[in-house]
Amino acid sequence: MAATQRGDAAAYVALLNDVGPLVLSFLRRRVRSPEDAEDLYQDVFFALHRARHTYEPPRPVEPWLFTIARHVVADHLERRQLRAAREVVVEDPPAPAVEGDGFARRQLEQVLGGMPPSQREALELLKVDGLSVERAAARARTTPAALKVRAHRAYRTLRHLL
Amino acid sequence: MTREPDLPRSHAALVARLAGDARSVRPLRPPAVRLVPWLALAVAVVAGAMAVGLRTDGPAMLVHPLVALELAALAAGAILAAAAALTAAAPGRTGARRLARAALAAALVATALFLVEPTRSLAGFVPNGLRCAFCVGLFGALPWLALFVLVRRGAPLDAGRAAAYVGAAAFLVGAAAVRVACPIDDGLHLVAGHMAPVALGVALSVLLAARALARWRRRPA
Repeated sequence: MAATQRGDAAAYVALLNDVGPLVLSFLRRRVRSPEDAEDLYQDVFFALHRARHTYEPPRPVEPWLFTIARHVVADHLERRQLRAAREVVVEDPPAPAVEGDGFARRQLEQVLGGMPPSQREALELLKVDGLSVERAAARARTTPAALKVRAHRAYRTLRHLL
Repeated sequence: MTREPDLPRSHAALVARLAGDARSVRPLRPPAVRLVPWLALAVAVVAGAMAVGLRTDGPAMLVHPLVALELAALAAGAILAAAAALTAAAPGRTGARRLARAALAAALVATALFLVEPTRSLAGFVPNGLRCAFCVGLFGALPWLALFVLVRRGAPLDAGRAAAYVGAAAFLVGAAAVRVACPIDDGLHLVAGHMAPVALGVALSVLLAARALARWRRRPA
């Protein structure tokens, strides 16, 4: 750790590799979700990095390390509790904004029906199905550049029709 | 660089990123060592207040046992709170809360000693109190700034508490400075005009400094 404070990158890499498993098992004992543990793992490492000047060389590393890790976890749990306290559980979820036979949906279908098929397909693949440009282009059997042009024309048509 | 099989997928990239920023850093000295320059500043502030103060008895007031006890309690409170603030900014160091509790006890002792002073007259209670409260803030400002900088150089894990300790230390110095400068020895005036502003200063310190002291924890973009 003292070498790390002197700017020795190799020593720093070795240290981080050494403490990684310790930090991870510490987090897994305190956080149930693996995604949260992985996210907190990064938070702990960033906190260690930014606080590395606060380590006092003759003292053991573990209390310093785990004090920081414990606070990162405590902050996370506190934030989660706050979020949970603000959430309202309702018995009946609100009705979707666009009903199956609603006016907005009908209007949207009318507008889409008035578009050239290639533009309509580009818009549906990108905005309704949420595909990336590459995947949408593959699905439409065209190139990404051509799909972007179709989508751009579709937006213009949509603006005109609405 | 080898990766433990159990480590998160992001580990290697994370280590590479942090190692890329592994420039040398100046290690933080122990809290007791860092406390010394701040104490020197605090003594200078109190001495300065005595020099520019309105009391006519000057250093002779210090031989009065009650005043000496009041100043000792204020000084003890300030030192303990400053030590708590510096300890709270050093991860792995324990005892910050114990020091803070001792500082609170010292401040309560000072308040109790102020109440032992007789209240002779309430004439000018509010304007005199406001003037002294302003002076507590004024004399506490420089110690506050200095301690804030010292604590910010560390890594305060509980920024709110650290900010409260900074405020308590600085404004107890302010209260000690005003005690040696103010010619009014009435008990009620001392509590309302000298000690109440310390509590206000602690609250203000938390409001002003807590976010800044927590900044070191922000994840880089």
